[in-house]
Amino acid sequence: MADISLINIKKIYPLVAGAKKKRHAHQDESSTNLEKTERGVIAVQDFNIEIKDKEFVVLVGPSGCGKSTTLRMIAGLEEITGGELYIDGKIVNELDPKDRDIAMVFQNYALYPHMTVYDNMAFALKKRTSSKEEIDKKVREAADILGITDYLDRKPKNLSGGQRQRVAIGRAIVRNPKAMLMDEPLSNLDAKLRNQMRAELIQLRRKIDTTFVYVTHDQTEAMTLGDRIVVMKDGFIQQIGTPQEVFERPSNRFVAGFIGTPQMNFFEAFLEEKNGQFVVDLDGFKVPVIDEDNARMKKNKAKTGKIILGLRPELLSLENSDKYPAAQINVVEMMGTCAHLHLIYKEKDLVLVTQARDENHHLKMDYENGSLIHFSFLPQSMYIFDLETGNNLALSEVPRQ
Amino acid sequence: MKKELTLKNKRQARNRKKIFILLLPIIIFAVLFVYYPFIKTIINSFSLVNAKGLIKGFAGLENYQYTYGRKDFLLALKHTLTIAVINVPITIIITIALALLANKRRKLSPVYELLFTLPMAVSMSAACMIFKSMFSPSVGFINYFFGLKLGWYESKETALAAILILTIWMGIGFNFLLMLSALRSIPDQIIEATEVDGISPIRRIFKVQIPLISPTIFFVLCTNLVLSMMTSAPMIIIMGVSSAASSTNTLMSMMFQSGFSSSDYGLAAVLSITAFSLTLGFTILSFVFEKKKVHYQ
Repeated sequence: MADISLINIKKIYPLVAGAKKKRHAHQDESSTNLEKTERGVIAVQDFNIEIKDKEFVVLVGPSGCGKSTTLRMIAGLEEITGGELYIDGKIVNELDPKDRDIAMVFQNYALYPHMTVYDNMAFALKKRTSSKEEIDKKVREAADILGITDYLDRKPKNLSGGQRQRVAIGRAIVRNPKAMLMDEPLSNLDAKLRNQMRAELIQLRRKIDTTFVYVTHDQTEAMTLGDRIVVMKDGFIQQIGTPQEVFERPSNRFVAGFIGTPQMNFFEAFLEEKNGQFVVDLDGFKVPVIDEDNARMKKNKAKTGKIILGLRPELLSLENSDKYPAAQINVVEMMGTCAHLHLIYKEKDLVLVTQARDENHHLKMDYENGSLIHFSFLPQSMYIFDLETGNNLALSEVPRQ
Repeated sequence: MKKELTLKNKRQARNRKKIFILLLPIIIFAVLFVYYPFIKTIINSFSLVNAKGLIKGFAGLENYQYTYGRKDFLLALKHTLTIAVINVPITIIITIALALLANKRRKLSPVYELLFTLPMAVSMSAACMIFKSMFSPSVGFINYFFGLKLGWYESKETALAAILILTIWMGIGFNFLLMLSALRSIPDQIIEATEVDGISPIRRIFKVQIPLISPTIFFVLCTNLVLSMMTSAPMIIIMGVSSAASSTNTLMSMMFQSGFSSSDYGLAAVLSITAFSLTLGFTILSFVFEKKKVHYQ
């Protein structure tokens, strides 16, 4: 139960003498785009966020974006290279993890394999509280919340993945910490169990009122769990916002592509201006920008010319007239209630989600591979990004470069 | 159906033949150098054996009565047990302590690891000679360094202690390596979990790290117990036939002397069987301990 502030947090992994040469030699092949300096690889920089008391914040991004590093810096497992970290108003940069009063749930659970479930949960308490009854009460309380009372005498190896994850969460909540840090806690579970545990986490949060910082690479987890989402890439924060904000007003092309499944489609298009009205021209198909965005784009001094047009697959619709852009069907994925049509448009992939059944509830099976279809979209579904920077041109505030 | 079966049988028979041929070398080796000598020793221990090693008749338990009645046997037995009881726990404690010190990867880690494992590279006989001169009363480094005037290997009181020091030192390198690799195989996240949970380093060592490396500790316990029971080289190489030799004799060195120096094969056979039974007993005991204390992942 505490607020956490990160101010200008920075993490540099120093290069080891031997690795330095090697890294320089393979610089081009390096898979991540992390910035390298004389001092080392910058894993996180300019990280600023105020996490409010009892807030659930999710750090999300592709692997190597610095989200786990940030979490580990909050936990005290990783040294902070620069910036200030406050927990409950106190600066904790130099404090050991044990003095920060936080709890952490690890990806591979990190349970003590030689101890029973009960001992795993009681282990951290034994030092803090002296009375046995008190420990017993706390452990049983936590076990009750998580529904693991029946397994208290078992050892971790005799538990399933989901049960182990519950024990790991139990070990964290018995201590009643100021903040719960979770490092991809669901990624070792199979898809079905992951969905179930995700729902349980939402319920759990109602029962234990504390601050959560949750790291994941799964945008669904981020959308469903977080009060606020922090989208990261290459060590930089791309956007902080509520799930709805991040989905509806992505700050740039990366965020737009990362949040939402299936992924947003991107096309090169032209932006024109006529009498103060911006119009998007996709291969001759002209759509005017809605007033709200138009005003913002004017304020942002958007330049006409080539832009990137972003369109969510769910907001594309099939048309019968050839005045609309045409695309060729490549693959049809029948998902049950809807169908994902993978189309080829101007030699690029394009995904369109459509209802699998018509008004009379009959399955539409007339999608033939190779056949041509026409699609259109509404003005309010357009996202317009700068060709070079990828920034959303219709954002109310000009995003950071 | 029948045809298929016979085909299958044929293939199995061929496979069996192949397996047998591949195993033959090790079977020959084991029979010649392990099983034959073992059975021969048992037979010898119940027989009258002359100085040429030939069996001259059945002796019943005579050899055993003769051996167990000797004063030097009881002394040798005492030394053997002393070495085992002192060597094994001290080796385990020292190697765990060193492994804990070297566990964290630092820039100089490879240097420490090399330093701690170096005794492995020294042969037993070379080590014996080095220790003999180090513990020498006149030119020895140990006496000089500590300002002592002890004749370590010459005096009955100190000879066994000096040999124990040598035995422990010889075992450290290899056992350290085992402990270190066991410690390093504990997942980092478990250690990080103890840090976040606020577990003190002492509790972490005794409640988490040591239980998690218990299979390795058990392995070190068993192998060192057997090795301790078999200790003989320092006694033979360093002590030789010196006046203090009897104060360090173990079952194995006594067996060596009776068998190869005095050609008393009956006595030697009884000593071997005794050492073997003791080792077997200890091993069974440690397996009982294993069931209770050793945790396998």
